[in-house]
Amino acid sequence: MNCIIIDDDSFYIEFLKNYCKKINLEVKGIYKDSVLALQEIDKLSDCDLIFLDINMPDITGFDILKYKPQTHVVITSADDSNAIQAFDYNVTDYLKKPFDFTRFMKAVNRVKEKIEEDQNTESHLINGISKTHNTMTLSTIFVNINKKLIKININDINVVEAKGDYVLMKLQGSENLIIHTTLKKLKEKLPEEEFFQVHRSFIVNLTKIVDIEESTVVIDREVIPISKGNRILLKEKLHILN
Amino acid sequence: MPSNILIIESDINQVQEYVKILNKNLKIQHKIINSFDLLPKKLITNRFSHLIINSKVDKLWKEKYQEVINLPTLVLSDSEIQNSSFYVTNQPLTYDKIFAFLSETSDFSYNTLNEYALGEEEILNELKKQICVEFEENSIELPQLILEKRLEDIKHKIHQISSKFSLLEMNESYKTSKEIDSKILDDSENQLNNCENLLVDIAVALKQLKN
Repeated sequence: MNCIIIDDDSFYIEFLKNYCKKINLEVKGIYKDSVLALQEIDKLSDCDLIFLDINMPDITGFDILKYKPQTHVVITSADDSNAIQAFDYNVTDYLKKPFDFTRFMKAVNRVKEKIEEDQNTESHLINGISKTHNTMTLSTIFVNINKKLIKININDINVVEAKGDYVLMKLQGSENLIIHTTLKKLKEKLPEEEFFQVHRSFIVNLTKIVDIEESTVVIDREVIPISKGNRILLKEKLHILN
Repeated sequence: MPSNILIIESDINQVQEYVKILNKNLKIQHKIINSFDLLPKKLITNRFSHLIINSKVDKLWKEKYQEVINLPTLVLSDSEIQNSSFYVTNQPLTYDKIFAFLSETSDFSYNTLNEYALGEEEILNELKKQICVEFEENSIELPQLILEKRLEDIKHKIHQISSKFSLLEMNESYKTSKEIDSKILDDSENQLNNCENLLVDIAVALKQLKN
């Protein structure tokens, strides 16, 4: 397991490094500058856990949370008045500074449990797809919702949106589903010729696009943002499809 | 309430001298009264952290008021004071002497920090070093920020420093820093004043950290 620390307070960086060392939790990166952390938001998702401070100058922890890093986040803050807002971003835990080793361990264990849950979900999804291979080709996918495997017709998926530890799957003609997994994991299970990640938080079904503008696509009357880096790739992708 | 001294002195020349001394360097918050009669009321109604007494004001002060005194106390006296925990000096007071008295007697402990360092000396020393660096920086930067009334910057610095006061068990300084953090943007006048007082506590902490 590994983590990234984002905190402009050198004391708490040192503090966390010591606690991480105690439990062999690898510190993969340290950002004292939250602006740099935001610039490297994709890198941030490439770890198991982020310890994120809230009160930082220029870019706050909430600004970083708005960009939905695709991993578990534990807030570390001297101010507990932000806790409710933080949990709205689906953070895994909230540590009020200063926190002791026992409380730190509790937060890390919570993350471990969530990772295990994610892996179980992943395993179910893989099982679902294998089954599909055997019997129905790749037109359906099984997702685990409340310990129930639900079959989804891939063609019915319009958009998938990241929502912290969950994804919101928007379906054609039926209710949306909230699935406990990450966008990254789900993306691997969707056929890449039909689905494309247009934004850090959105995967769209290319066959459902009705309109494309400079920085948005429209699917089923919903406007989805396209990130700058993905615009060209999307155009290429659609060109190939054409 | 950060360091805040109640002084009992009736000699007007001496009072003027104290005012001069206590406004030197970092302003040390204080109140001067000229009679022991006011002492019980002052101790109840005001939040003082320390007491300085000139024993000449009332020769029977110890017999009459020892019971109500529950603060670190420095007594100016030519003779020793038996059976008490009072600090005694027969020398005239200077800023350094008053500051040394504050440093030695203010709330301060490594117990909590040591627990958080899991009882490991190496970690404890590293954490102490980090706090020391932060407090030194603040003792240089905060006066200028206060002067320029850069409220957002002050808020950020005080926000960071607050949990360090908590770790050093400087509970009154912790409460004051939390108050500054939460109120400075709406109540700058009072909170800038609190910030100035907190500079004394930062200096006291630094003195302890460097011992």
